[in-house]
Amino acid sequence: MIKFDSVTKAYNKVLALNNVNLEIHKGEFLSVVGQSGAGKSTMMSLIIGEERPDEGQILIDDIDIAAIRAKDIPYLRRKIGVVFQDIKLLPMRTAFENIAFALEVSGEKPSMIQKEVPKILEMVGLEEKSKAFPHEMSGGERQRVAIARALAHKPVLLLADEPTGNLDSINAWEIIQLLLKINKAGTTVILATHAKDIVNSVKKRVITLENGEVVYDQEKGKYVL
Amino acid sequence: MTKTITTRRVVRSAVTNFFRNFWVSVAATSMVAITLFIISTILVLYTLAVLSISNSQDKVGVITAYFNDKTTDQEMADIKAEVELLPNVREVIFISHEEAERRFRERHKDNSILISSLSEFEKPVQASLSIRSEDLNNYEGLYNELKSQRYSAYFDRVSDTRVVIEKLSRIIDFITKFGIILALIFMAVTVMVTFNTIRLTIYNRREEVEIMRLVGATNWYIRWPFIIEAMMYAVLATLIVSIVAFGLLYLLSGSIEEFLSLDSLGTNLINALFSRIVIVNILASLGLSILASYIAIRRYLKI
Repeated sequence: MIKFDSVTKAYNKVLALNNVNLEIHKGEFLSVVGQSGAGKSTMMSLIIGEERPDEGQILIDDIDIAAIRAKDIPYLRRKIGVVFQDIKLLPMRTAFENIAFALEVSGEKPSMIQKEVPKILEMVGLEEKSKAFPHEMSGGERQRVAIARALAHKPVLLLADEPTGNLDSINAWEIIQLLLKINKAGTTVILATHAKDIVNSVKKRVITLENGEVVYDQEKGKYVL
Repeated sequence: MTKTITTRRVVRSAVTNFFRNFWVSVAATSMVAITLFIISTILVLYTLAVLSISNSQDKVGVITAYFNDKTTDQEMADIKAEVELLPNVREVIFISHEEAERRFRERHKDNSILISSLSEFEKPVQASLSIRSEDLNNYEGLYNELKSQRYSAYFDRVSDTRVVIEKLSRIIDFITKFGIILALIFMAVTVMVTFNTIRLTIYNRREEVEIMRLVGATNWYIRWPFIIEAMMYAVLATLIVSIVAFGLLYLLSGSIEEFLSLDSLGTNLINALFSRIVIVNILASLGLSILASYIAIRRYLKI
């Protein structure tokens, strides 16, 4: 589904990714681990077309992302859900409105939004928090709203960049359980994380990045750094 | 259908943002309004000056020669007959003391001091001949003839209306140059103020913009609210300036007519001026606002 073919990316002559070759299959749950600056976030940015590789190709379903015209990038992003450590919810909007926002920008009809958002909220277990504002929710709940928003367009791929970074272990584990549930429903999930316990207990494929290079790629792997 | 929904959402977003940063929006609108007011003033002054000069050009062929007080009625009649026979004279009209005084009283009927002072003199207003030349090319020869020794015993002074025309031309020239420079300065300031306002708006909404990008909003879905917001400054400013301009034109038209010695500005002229002001203002304000917001989003809105 996603193929990194000799991908190199540098910022101000500092290599963030160095000749990365990688293949991620449809329906896979992949954990990307590595220390800060290892290249995890760069990998995410390249997949959503926010950055372009200096060398090599990134293919999503055989389409070269670098070849996609700038005006078509938004349509690619509707196929890829993204979740961040700092959550990025709109503070003046309720949980419902934050999720609806994703559908509004793509021109969905209000009737469709009214029908779909409760379903997504239910999926992430927040149907009771529909009218709650971000400041009225716990960190875990806010992150679940962010995941719900990422799922609004029914993406084929979900990127989670340190989604548990600001959460306690119970909330973090709940978020991982939710990601596993989403993966089980057929969505490919790429999880970039530092959390050793989580990676070890998930027992899914793990790739380890070090100085921009893939140093380990293990099926049912462990956090080895 | 989708397009209509999207358009509605984009406009709603712009309106919400306009009111969310109300005082910033008021400042930007005021700046656009000041510029429009200056442009409108220049436009009105220019139009009236041009009108006035064309009005005066009608009178340029007319030389008025004023009889001195020693000239008798018979001499005046003889001189009139003689001048009528001069080459290049199309028409000669005699205006007697009585007629000149009547006209003077009529023109200054509101100035009681001036009217009462008339009784102090035996012949307060001079009799005159209004001589129209065949065309403007003959003007100088005719003027020199009337100023010659032959007539110096009868005429106290001979008016030269060319001076008025030249003066008006200089005024128009000044208005045009000064007006264009002033308008350009204020246009530049307006672009800078609008540009900064939109930049501030982009900064205030950076999180929302970032989320929009992440969830797949198109570039124009993100950009349009900022452009529409700038267009709102333009439309509001045009509305304010148009109302003020109409009020001022309506109130001052009498004084303008008197000042420029125009017969009548008339409702048509006020309407024409007003529609010209509205059209120029809307084009200028929209042009400047769109330009400023476009530069700001190109520079500060990373898509």
